[in-house]
Amino acid sequence: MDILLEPHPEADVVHIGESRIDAGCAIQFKDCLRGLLQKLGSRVILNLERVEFVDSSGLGAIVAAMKMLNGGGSRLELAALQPNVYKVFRLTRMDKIFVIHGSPSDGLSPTES
Amino acid sequence: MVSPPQKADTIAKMTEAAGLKLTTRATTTDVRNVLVHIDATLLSYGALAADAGAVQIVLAEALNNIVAHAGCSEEDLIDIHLWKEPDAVGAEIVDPGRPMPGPLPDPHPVDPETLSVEDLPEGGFGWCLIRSLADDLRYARENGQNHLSLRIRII
Repeated sequence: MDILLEPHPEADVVHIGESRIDAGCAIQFKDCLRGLLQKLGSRVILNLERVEFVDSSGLGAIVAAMKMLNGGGSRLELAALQPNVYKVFRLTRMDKIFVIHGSPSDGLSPTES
Repeated sequence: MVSPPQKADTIAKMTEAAGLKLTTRATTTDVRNVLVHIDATLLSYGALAADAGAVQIVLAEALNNIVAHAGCSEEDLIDIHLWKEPDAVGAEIVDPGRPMPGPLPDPHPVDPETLSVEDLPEGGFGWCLIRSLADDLRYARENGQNHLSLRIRII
C-alpha cells in the first residue's frame, strides 16, 4: 500500500496514498499500520487527503489502527477527510471518537491541542 | 438534418426510466470495479458528488455483504439495476447466494462516546450505513435468487 511516514516533533504524520480504504484492502491497511507501530510516537495524524472512499471495512480498519496505537499509549488523529469519507464517520457516529483536523498542518500547529 | 427534439427527448426519458443495468462477479475486486464504474457513470450523468457518494456507500455495503456472507463462488454473478426516481435512486440487487437467514438487519445505533477504546466496534457498520441513506428496503427470495431493493435518497 502507498503509505508514507513523515515524522515531526509534534506528531508523526502517516500519509495514505491510496484512493480507497475498503473491503479490498482493509487487511493490508491494518498490516501496514501494525508494521509501522515501532516507529510511531505518542501522537499520530493519519492524512486522508488522497482517500476518496472508505466503506465499513475501511472504517473498521481505521478504528483497529486507533486501538492498536492506544494499546501502545499513542493517540491516532485524522486529517483532511473528503466529504464522502466524513459522511461515513458521521453516519456511524465514529466521528465523535477521533480528533479530526482540516489538514495535517492544522494538526501540527502549536495553537491546536 | 437535425433530429426532431421531441424524439430525442423521448429517447432521453426512456434511457432515464430504464436506468443502468450492470453485472459483476461476486468478488471484492470486481465489486470495487463496478462501484468505481457506477460512480463515474452517475457523475457523467450530472449527479452531485454527494448523491453519487451516497449511492456508492449503500451499494458498497450491500454488495460486500453478498461477497462476504452469501456463500457465492467467484464465478457467481450479481445483477445491479439502478434507476432514477424524483428524489431517489432506486436500486435492485440480485444474487444467487444462500437466502438471508432472517429479517434485514436494523441495528440499534451504537453511541461510541460511551465506550472505552478497547470496546469500540470494528465492524457491524454496514446496515447502519444502508439504513441511514436508503428507504423502502425490501428483500425477496425468488427462483433461487436473493432480491434486495431499496431507494437511496438524493438531494
